[in-house]
Amino acid sequence: MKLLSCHIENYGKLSGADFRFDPALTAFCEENGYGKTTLASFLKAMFYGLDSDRANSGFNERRRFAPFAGGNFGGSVLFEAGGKQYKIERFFDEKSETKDSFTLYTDGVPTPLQGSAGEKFFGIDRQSFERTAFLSGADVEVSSTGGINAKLNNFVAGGEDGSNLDAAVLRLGNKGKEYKKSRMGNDLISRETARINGLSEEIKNAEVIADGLQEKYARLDGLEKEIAGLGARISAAQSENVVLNDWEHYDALLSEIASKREAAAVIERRYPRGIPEKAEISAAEEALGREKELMARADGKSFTEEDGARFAALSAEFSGGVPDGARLAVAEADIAAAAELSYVTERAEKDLTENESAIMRRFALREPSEGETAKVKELAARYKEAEAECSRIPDSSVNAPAKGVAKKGAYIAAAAVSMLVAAAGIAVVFFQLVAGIVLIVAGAAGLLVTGFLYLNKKVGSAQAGAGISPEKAAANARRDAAYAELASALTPYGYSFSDGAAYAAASFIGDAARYGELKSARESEKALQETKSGEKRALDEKLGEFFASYGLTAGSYVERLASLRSDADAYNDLSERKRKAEREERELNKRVAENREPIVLFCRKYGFEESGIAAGIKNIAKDRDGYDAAVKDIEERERKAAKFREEKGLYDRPANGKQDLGALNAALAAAQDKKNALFSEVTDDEREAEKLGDLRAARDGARQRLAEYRDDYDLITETISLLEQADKNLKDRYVRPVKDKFVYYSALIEKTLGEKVTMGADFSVRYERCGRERSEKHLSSGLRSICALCFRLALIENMYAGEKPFLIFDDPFTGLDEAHMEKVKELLKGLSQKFQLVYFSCHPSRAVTY
Amino acid sequence: MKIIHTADTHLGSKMDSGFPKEISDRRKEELRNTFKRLAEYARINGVEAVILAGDVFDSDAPFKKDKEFFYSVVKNTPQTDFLYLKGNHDIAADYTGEAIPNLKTFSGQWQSYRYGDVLISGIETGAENASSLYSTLDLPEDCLNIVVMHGQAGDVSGKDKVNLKKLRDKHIDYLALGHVHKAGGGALDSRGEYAYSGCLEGRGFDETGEHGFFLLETGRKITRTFVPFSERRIEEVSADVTGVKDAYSAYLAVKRQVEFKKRNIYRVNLVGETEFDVEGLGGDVAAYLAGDCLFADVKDKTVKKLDIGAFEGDLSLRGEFVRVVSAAEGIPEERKKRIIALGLKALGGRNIEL
Repeated sequence: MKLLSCHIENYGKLSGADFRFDPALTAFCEENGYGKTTLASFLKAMFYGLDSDRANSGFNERRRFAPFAGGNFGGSVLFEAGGKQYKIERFFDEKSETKDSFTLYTDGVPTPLQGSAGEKFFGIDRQSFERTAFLSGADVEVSSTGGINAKLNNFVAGGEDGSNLDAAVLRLGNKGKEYKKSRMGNDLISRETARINGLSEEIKNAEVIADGLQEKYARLDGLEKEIAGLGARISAAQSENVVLNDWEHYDALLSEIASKREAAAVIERRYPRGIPEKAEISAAEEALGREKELMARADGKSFTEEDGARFAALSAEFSGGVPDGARLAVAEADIAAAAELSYVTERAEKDLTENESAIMRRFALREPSEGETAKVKELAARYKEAEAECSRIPDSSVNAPAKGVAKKGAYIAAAAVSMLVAAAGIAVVFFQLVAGIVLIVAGAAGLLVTGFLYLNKKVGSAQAGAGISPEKAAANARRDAAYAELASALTPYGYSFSDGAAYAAASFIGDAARYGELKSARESEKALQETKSGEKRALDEKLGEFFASYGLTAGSYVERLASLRSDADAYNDLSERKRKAEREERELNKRVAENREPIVLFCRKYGFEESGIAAGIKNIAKDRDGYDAAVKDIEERERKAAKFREEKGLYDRPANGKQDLGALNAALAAAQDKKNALFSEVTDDEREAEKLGDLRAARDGARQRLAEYRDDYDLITETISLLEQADKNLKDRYVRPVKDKFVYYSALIEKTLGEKVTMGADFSVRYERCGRERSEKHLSSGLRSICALCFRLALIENMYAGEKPFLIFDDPFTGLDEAHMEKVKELLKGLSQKFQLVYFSCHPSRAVTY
Repeated sequence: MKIIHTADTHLGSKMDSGFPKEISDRRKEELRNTFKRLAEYARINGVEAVILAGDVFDSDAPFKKDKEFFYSVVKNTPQTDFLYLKGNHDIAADYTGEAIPNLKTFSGQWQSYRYGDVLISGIETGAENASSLYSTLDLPEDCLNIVVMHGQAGDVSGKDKVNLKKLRDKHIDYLALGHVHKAGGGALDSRGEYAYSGCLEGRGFDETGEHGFFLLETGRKITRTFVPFSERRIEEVSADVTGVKDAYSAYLAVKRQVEFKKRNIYRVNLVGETEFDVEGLGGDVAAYLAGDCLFADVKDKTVKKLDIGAFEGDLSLRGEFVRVVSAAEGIPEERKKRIIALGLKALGGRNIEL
């Protein structure tokens, strides 16, 4: 590979700078600040880019070489490799590499590139590049990198496959940590071990439980036997107790029989002559009952003392004889006749109607004569005619002098008469109400009429004054005159003209006729009444005498007759009853005596007091019944007791008493509780013990897995070890050439440096001083820089068999003295025959010229 | 007369450790359930006697709940007699004092039960009678004789052994044996035969294949018919997965070679040759097979292909590594292959799985 040129658009302090490179050595010896390091960095950056400028990046190259003046940050580099010409154009973002732009041209054609340009063309990563092709004073690390090793491997092998021990060991190591970690124990082996331990504990527990089961089974069997035994004992005890209960019951029956016998004996003792038979007692009871009835009948007299007193009183009443029915009928007829007579005599006042009564009252003080009646008729006719005439003649408006005006004094006189009549009525009303009222009404009516007429006349006058025809006025006058006469005739009778004079007249006429009729009737009636009254008086006298003979002087005839009839009936009834009562008494006494006889015999037979037998017979009957019942009861009980004994086989009385079942039952209950609890325990234990098989199987599985894990872990560690061994072998194979080259190059510069140098598999350089191996880090900076140079040269010689990369030296030899520097210069000149060198220095003493 | 010959129910037994817990628990339940189904079969089919030729329980000290289950099944099948002969696993097992009329037991002496012209005799072998029992067996010639024992059939006597030679010409028509968990049998003598009923349900990958019981029918002679009765089968199969590059390809290859039934349990052995970097086939193929069967345990028994010779000319770290491992002493060849495979995967930047 040969660098041809580069163009820096903006990179650090360099802007718009172009550089051309010699195929062998391009040396820059410029003062500080020229941009040598900038150019060296640029060249590296073109191939490997720049790391992003992050907050924690520190003062990295992106930040350091961001163009001071701004503008496009980057440029291009032109180089040859593998017979082709390449150009890299790269521009950097100020912060982030993701925003950088990169273009590769292959013979002028843009070419896509996967990955880093540096890795493509140099075959190593940036770090490896910095450790080989790039040497600065700050970096004198003498060690390899994985990339270098890989390159060396490939170099040695002649192939490329990217195999990387570090990555492989890391992968295996990480896998190994899954199986076993150095601490914490959260790995497969630790976990499986813990699981096995846990399972072992569980198994131990389950075994203990399982071991204990047999003993529990035995206890359970024991308890079951105990329960069975207790059950049998309880059953036997119950059977014995049942027998004893039967004996008790039998004894109770016998005891009851004995008490019944005693009760019967008590009864017997009350009857020294024996207990009467039931039939005898019944007969005596019947007799006593009959006697009682008879006595009651005797007590219950049909003729009482009251009856006697009453009879005596009636006897006195009828001392003259009791009136029979015929006599009473006569009296009754007389009474009816008297009533009839009374009715007739009192009837007249009561038969008038109200109107008739009013008529009678109207005409009570003044009867209308026939003449008056006729006159009224005439006046009425006249008035009617005058009224009709007035109606026929029409009214006119001719003023005519008022004629026929009644004199004022007539009116005054009429009014005065009316007033007198009314006053007379008022005075009479206190004595004769009807008459008084009639007079008052007549007087009032007269006043009204007078007033009316007076006013009417005034109207007539007014009318006449208003212009009525003489004909009309005359008719009116005639009418008025008729009216006045009618009023004069009727007013004394109290007739009102409110309904008109004609009506009033007609009323009078009718009333007068009716009055006449009524009056005639009354008079006839009166005559009759007088006759009847005489008759009635005679009857009254007769009836009075009749009733007085029996002491009945008060009340109406009807009442007296009823009383008399009642007394007579009562007397007759009492007489009959008295006779009957006497007869019955005689019969009763006879029967009582007959009835008493068997009772007396009964008492004598059994020694009972006759006087007390009635009260005592019930007790005797009761005793008899009681005795019979007792005897029957005793027989029944004896029969039952015998049957009970036979049924229960109660022949031999047990010697032992009843057993206390309570204690046995309690013991049984306790045993059952124990058994239930133990059963529950056994069930739980079996459940746990049943897991034993699975636990053991799980533990076996875990042990197997643990063994596998351990084996896998051993496999991994073994593999790592063998990989490392292989790697060491390879390194041994390729480290030696590097070491040899290192020794060769370093001997050119510093012989002592080249002697007794050893290089580890990691390319660490050690040299011997005073019989001891020391690290190159013990060297001065100058000699270290020589080591670094020689090491890089040795690496490159071995890494690149064919096309070598260019080398960049950014003033790495600042620590060398003049002698060493001269040797380095010679070395570099020689190297330039094989490598393209780009050499930077800032002091002529370190300048290298070709 | 119908008789069932079964044995080795191993009630209360744990299952294969290779079963996941849920499969294990399920199988335990199925084991009990199958015994219940057997009783139901007996009831429905008018079986007069069920011969239990040993190892009804898995332990001399079976759990109470297992015993109660067993006795409950027997009690609830009153029309069938259960002739219980203890085996080597349950020789010391005892039952509760409760009398179960249809549970007939045997002892260390010959005990017989007659069913018409069928005589069923049995003895529980132990050290004390292992040799003498043959001489005390005396069976009537005119009966159909069934003898029940538990042990390994052979020509020697001893505890847990059944000496067939000494049982010949003893008028045995059918020797009902227990102890071997696979059904099978053979001729005993000119008159009779012997048979193992096998266990009712397989408990692990060592008890694969069909399981059930023998149904015996008596007439002039005894005929036996095997009745498959297990809830499901356990099978072990192999599948060649040579050349597969990944687990899914391996799964497809397995599916082409093996017909799976959803209710069964399988152990699948992957055989053949695969590339050294093809790892983790077992777990992944098992996961793929989850939908094809109840459970699959897949073992990767493939040989890893690694051409050491191809690295002879490889002077890179890879080649050097291969050479270093190959030359290493004290490491078995198979392990060297594994180391090389692992190292190459690490160097190649591949995902490392073991």
